[in-house]
Amino acid sequence: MEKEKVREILEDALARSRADYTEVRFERRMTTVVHFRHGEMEVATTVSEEGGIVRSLLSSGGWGTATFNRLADVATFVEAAYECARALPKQNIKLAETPPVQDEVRFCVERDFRKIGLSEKADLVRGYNEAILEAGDAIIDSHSLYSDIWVERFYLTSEGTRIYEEWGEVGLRFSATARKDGIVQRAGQSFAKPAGYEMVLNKETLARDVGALAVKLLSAPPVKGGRYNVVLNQELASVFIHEAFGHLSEADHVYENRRARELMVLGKRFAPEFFNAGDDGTVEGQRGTHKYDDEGVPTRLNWLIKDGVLVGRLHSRETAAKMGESLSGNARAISYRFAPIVRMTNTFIANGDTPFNDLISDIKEGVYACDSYGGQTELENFSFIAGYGYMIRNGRIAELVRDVVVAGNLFDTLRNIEGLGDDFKWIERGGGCGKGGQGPLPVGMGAPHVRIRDVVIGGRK
Amino acid sequence: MLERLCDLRRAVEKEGGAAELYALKYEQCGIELTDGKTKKASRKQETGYALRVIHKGRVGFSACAGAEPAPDLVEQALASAQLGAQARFQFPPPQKPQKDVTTYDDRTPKLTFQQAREVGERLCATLKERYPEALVEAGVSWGWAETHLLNSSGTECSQRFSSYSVSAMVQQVKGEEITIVFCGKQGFGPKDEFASRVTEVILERLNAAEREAKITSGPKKVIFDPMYGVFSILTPLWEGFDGENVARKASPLTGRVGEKIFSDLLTIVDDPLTEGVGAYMWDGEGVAARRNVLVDGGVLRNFVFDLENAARAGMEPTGSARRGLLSRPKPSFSNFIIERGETPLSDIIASIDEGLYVVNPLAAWGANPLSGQFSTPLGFALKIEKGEIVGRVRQVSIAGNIYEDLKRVAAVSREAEWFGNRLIPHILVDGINVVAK
Repeated sequence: MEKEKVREILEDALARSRADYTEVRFERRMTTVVHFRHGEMEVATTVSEEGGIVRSLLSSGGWGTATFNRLADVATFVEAAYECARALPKQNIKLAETPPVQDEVRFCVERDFRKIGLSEKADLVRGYNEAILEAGDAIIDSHSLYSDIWVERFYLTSEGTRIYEEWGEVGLRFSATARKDGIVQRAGQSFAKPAGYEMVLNKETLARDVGALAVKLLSAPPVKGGRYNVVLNQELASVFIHEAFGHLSEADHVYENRRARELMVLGKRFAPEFFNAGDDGTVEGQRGTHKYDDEGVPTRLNWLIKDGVLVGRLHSRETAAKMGESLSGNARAISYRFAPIVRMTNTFIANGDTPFNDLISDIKEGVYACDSYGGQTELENFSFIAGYGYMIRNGRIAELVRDVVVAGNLFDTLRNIEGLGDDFKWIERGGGCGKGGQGPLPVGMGAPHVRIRDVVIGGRK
Repeated sequence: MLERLCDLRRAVEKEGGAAELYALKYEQCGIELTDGKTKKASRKQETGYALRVIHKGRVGFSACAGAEPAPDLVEQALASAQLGAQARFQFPPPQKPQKDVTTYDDRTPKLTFQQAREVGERLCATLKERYPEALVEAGVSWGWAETHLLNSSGTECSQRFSSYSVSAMVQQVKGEEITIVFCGKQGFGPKDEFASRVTEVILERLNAAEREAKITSGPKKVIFDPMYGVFSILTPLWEGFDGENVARKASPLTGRVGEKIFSDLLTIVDDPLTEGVGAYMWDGEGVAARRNVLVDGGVLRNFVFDLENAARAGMEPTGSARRGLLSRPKPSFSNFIIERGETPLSDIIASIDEGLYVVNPLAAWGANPLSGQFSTPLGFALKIEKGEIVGRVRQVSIAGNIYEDLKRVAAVSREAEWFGNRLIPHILVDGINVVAK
């Protein structure tokens, strides 16, 4: 259906709303996946989605939402959302003021992946799959995936905001499993970027490294569990700031909770003076970048920790009003199936000034923990599984080790940060963030190398 | 809806292919409560269509979420088949169900937001009364779905499902120490005991957590709790039993049927014909559901298979193909059951001189799925001392290898409880490596 026609139907339905505030978001999405598993085509497929969500707020009630597929019936769902809002008790929800915007945000790329045939994408992935398998017979299983997604989004509010946004992303994911003498090891890498097809070309090295690392890990000893001075590489440091601190900076975690608010009070010192961290939805080319969040609020750079002190947090319109803080542009939804909640965009630890060699030069016995399979946090408790690691011995990188799990208490760990590398980079990896049943949400993250003293490294005793 | 599916089937057959059409329509309602107040109400409705084809010996797939099938669905599926995997199976002819099983409760679609609010608000009030300082969140959700599957071999099966769930979370902050306790119960329809059980579990945990305890490092006796403890720690097994990994010899259990892999106290069954939220009469490919014994007294008996992977592995399909709105069928679990044992939980606890009761291991999914090795901090765990639970331990991890550790199961409790699609007892393992600060 034509863009103008869609807009007309949505306008018409929105105009009929009986709620105090109403917004409608309608999306069309198209996803292509090409998946090779261990030298064989698994699937090459294209999947399409079309649907929307209506969100209503009543001053005599609360938030009601209704999701739907059938555009022609949107008016029914405007009413359904109103009915949901009306079923709630009065709760004085206020929305922080944001000026209504009318805008069209286009997605412009060099090579539009929608114009590339499935068979060309299949040839590309086949090549990468072969690159993984170059590591030899020890590789018993491997995956190579290509994916692209194209999203078209209409957003209308009863306050007059009208945004039409196009967004897209290309991605690759490689993994390898190697086995020898009863030992099994995995390695994986991914890449994703809101960009054109040109960005997924020439990634043979990435694929080859995955196969090679899985094989090398077979002969690496498991790290000996204990407390170490640890250096996190940029990827693991990024995951740390996202998982452990970023989530705690999401205002919806604290605004209902007096004790948690006391814990996360602005102005409190969390880290040494040289430590700065933030979230920035405006960084060119990063996965969490959008001109507006899913409430039509312009994104911006939000410092979370400045000179070691907590200076800000991430907000939706509701949490900003509730806490009397400024809007940050962090209300995001993964798709039309969900209402926006407070989320990160591109979260980072700002660059430091220590060259990598100086960062490790006085560590007698430590661990250099690299990359990440992901992690889990429960407020102050966190645990991350590193992709691999090296021992640091007498100020130098020594042997490769496996089974590196970094765990600890967030507050202790932040206080124990001793140094930051001068080598900040944005990590352009795939996957995404999960919260409240909404995942994976594309987010960006970046950091320099980070040195932390006295970190618990799990492993076998 | 069925008519549209028949049209699509004809369109594929006209091109000389065989088709499998799947349609899902669901509606889901829910409320969310924070600190006793119902904050949000939602209603979700979604329809989707999936088409799998076998064309010129290759498998193709496409799907769409939308009120109507996408106009190019057939074209996309055929294009997918041009590049697709070699077909090792055919779409099955109609199969008689082995047994009727409940998957639907008429009362569920009739539930109102008002009724849900009463349940949620009462639940929050009870928790808040006991812990006025804590943050209390709760949710009540209910939904219903219909699925239709038809293929070119004459299979046409339609099923109805419903679900109802009550959950709550309490978060307590003391200085920089945070305690989070969660519990949720699910079924086909509203049940009063869900809310009371959720309350009971949460209060029991918070009560035990009021005291702090210390434990030393070393091998200990550890009881895993049915809700998350057992489930989390078994994570590597999900991949081990997965027919897709077995067919590709990527499972460490490949080729080991008949071998004793765990303690004889462990019997593990996947059973879609038991009344539980994972129940169904036909799987996602129209294969009749059946009880599937995975481990019998510690001896490996079978895996979960869909058609493709069963054919690849040279085994029988087990009726375990599951599918979502937009994804191809994959082997998975229906109702995952660990058979209960003979020892009352109280006797198991009483038998322990020094050990742990593990409720919530963090990031247990990070375990090596193939070797079974894990190292996981404990989000919530209690210390057992001289046969009694004495308090909560903090900053403690456990590490080991699940395939090795499950050979040392010392007791399985007489009590078992449903959480989601899992019916699981308490499991005591002797000699789990505990790492304390």
